[in-house]
Amino acid sequence: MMNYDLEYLVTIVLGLLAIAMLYRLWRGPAMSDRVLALETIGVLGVLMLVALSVIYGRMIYLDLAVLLALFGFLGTLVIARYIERDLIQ
Amino acid sequence: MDTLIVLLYAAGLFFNFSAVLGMLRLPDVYCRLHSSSKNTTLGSLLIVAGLALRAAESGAGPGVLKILLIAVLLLVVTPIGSHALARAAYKRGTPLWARSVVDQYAKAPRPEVTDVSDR
Repeated sequence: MMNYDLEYLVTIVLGLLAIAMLYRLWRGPAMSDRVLALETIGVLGVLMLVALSVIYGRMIYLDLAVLLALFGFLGTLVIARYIERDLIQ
Repeated sequence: MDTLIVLLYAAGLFFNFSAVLGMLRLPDVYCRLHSSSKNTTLGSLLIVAGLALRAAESGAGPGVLKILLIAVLLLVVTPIGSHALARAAYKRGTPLWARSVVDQYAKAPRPEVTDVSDR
């Protein structure tokens, strides 16, 4: 059995960074700040999912990580278009 | 092998930490985009590379391929999202920092939009 303490440490530190990003999500002065904070939290979440899949040896977390990356990206694009000009004109 | 993995984790965590630090400390949307996009991309690639090495070490065959797919996805996705966000914030009129020095996008020639169906 391998020792996965390092991966646990990486996951915990990434979670702390994501929690620190909640400050920017709470009071970003512009809407872009909040969307950017959400995007960064999404990337950190993808990393945490990959680390958890390596720790527990479960492939399903990798699928979840792919889905989270893709849908976070799509959400960012849609909200960016909404910020640039309204969706329906 | 273990030292390489530890180095990859440490470098990735350092870059992610600097991204979050820049997001919290920098004064401007565009400065924050600058901090977040590049540091997050490099840091996540390093961490994913370390995790792929670790998975290959523990003998997970297709898992390594999927982790590499995630790495390629992150490498493509993060800069595109940041670019779209920066463009949207600028066109929305989000103010630059008061002590910004140069704004080259304001001087760029704007093509006239003639195709109304694009809007």
